[in-house]
Order: sequence, then C-alpha cells, then structure tokens
Amino acid sequence: MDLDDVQIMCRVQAGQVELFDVLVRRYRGPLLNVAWSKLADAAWAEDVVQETFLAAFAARATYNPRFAFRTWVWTILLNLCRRQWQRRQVRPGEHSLGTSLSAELTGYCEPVTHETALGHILQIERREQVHQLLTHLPEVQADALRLRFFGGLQFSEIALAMDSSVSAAKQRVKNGLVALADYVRQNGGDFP
Amino acid sequence: MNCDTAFDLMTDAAGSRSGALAQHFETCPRCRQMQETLAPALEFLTQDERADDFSARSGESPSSEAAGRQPIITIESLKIAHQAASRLAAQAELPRARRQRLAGQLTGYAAVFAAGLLVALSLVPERGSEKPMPTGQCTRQEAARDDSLRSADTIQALAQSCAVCHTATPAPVHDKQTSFFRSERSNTREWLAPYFREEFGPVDDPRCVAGSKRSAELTALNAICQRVQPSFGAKEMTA
Repeated sequence: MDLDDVQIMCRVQAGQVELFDVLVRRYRGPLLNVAWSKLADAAWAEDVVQETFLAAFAARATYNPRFAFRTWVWTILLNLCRRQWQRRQVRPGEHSLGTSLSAELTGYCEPVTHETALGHILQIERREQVHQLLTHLPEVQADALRLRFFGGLQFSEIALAMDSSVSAAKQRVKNGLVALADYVRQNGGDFP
Repeated sequence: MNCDTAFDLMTDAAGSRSGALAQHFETCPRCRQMQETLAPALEFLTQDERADDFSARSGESPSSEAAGRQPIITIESLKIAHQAASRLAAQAELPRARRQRLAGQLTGYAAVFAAGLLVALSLVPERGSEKPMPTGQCTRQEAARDDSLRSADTIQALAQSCAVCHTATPAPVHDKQTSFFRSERSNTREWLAPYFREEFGPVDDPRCVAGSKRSAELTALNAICQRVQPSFGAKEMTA
C-alpha cells in the first residue's frame, strides 16, 4: 500500500512511528543534493539532513495536514543549512570541498575502475564548479536555483519554503539563471 | 501553452525536452530568446543530472563518515521545525482570508461605482426643462399625419413654429458636454436651417400652429431667425 505524505504523517502522529522511515527514504536524496550544494561538504550535508528529519520527527505533533510535509522539511533544511553555513564562516577551513569529497570517495561501494574513478573525479570537479558559481549569486537566488534544480521542487513549493510569493520565486530563479549564464559566457567554462 | 508554463518546463530537466515546449518556441520569439539566453546556465545545472545525484552516489545508507556519528537534535533545530510548522499553517489559511478580503473589496468598489453613477445621473440635465413645450398644442405629430398640409408654406410654418419652442432657450454647450447621453441632434439649429431660407415667406399662414400668430411669439420667432443663421436673411415676420 502506497501511502501519501499526509496519511503517513497522520499515522505517525497516531503512534505508528516506524512509518516515518518511509518519508526519510522518500526525501533523503533530494535533501542531500541541496544540502551538499549549499554547504559544499558531504559530511556536513548528511548531518544537516539527519538533523532535519530528527527535528521533523520530534516536532511531529505540530504537523498540520493543511500544509505539505515536503515543504515543511525543505523549510527546516534551508534554515539548518543557513545556520550551519554561519557556523562554518566562524570556523573557516575546518572543511573544504576537496578533502571532504576525497574522504567521501573512500566510502563509495562500487568497484573502483579507471573509468569510474575518472568519472567521479569529473563529478567532483563539476560539483565544485557549481558550488563556486552559485556562491557568486545572492543567497536567495542561489537557494532558489538549488531547490529547483537539485531538489526538484515546484515553484509553489519553493515559494513556501523560502517564504516568498510564487512570482518572486520564479523571478529569483530567472535572475539567478541570467547571472549564471553571463558568468559562464564570460569565463568560457573556466571557473575559479 | 503560455509563457509562464514554458518557463516552468524550461527549468525542468524532463520538461525542457518536451515537444510542447519546442512548439511553443516556434511561435514565441520572446521565450525562444529567453531560452537562448539561459542556455549556458541551464546546461550547466542539468548536465549529467543522474550521475551527479548525491543520493545515487552515496546509496541509501549514510556514508561511512556519517554512520560513525550519533544522530543529534538540538533545541534550536526543534525550534526551527516548530516555527516552520506555524508559518506554513498560517500560510495555508491565507487563501481563504484572501478570498474574503477580495470579496469585501469588490463590494466596496461596487458601492463606490453605484454612488458615482447616481451622482453622474443627477448631474445630467433634464431635456424637458431645457426645451419647454408651448402652451398651445404642438402640431408636429398632427402635421405628419395629414398629407394635405405638406405644402412648402406649411412645412416652413410648421418648422418655424417648432423653433419657437425648441430653440427659444438653446441649451448651453457646456451643459451638453456633461451629459452621459448626448443627443445626435445636439444642435437644433442645423436641422431647422433649411426652413429659414429666403424662398420661404413669413409666417402668416392661418393654418400654422395655434397661437403662433400672437405677436409675442412672432417677435421671438424673428429673433430666432436672426440668431440661427443671419446669412439666411429670413424675412421679418408680421402678425
């Protein structure tokens, strides 16, 4: 039986807490994508996502079926990422994208061949480029782009998660894309 | 498809390859130009999307590094969850409140419009008061019914007698401009002009409108002849 988010949360509120695991499996991937893009650190991203789910579970009594669970967790995630990012600014250099991703690679389960290793290096490089590019944008534009492209959210969901109107969410995505496109054109694919 | 939907598809990995979007680009140069402008960024953000998926790379389980740590939850994160729930619940209520507010606004606008309409109607000059009917009987309808009366003299007499009533107190132009309901025959003199040409004689026909031979009315009629179009050279009318 495939339950939707509202049904699961209502049952979790009623005591079937094990069903919350379904929601974790459902949203963990997109949340990790966005958190990693925002924090540029795989381990921190996992910590933040884990904390997001724990917070949602601990506050399950406050969930209301009038709003979507996914919007709720996205809102929590964005706020926790922002908090984590501020902490990181206070303690710069504790993590860096390269070192943490190298460490991440050691935990990768597939057999490492020349092809897969090269592919992952390229992925890491590109991920770093994306992160670097997004840091050139205002935070609200970068967050809107992350939610749209890495989280796969609809504009209405982005608006709710970022506490803005739908048109403002679209404008943020559009402005971010225009700025990003300009930057890509000017640098011809060479990024810092 | 409108341009708004096109932008939604443009920024969606699967939607950007849809045929509907391609069709829209053919008919909408603005969206096509937008797509060309954003192409480098879109390509950069969506290329090799699946391979870049963090969850696919790290699997369903936490990484070895994260697995070694104990799950933590802080008061701060719990507070964030509570605040987010409160805000989203409040926003879920917004559409209903917005509908009620909109209904109230529409009612207000309708009331203001109705009041404005009433004021405007009260400002429209009453036609009857500008063109008082003569004390005698108007022969216009009667003459129209009786073919035997339609000689040139009769027509002239009839028209001039009409002029006694209808142009004796011509409505000021600015009054007409304030009216919402302007008459096509706003200038009464124009349609009367042919009847004041020189070939028509003075009003001395006994069949003319009752009472039109009275000297006061004829004086008024002569004054009208001068006022309507002096170049017509209407003859002095005598009792």
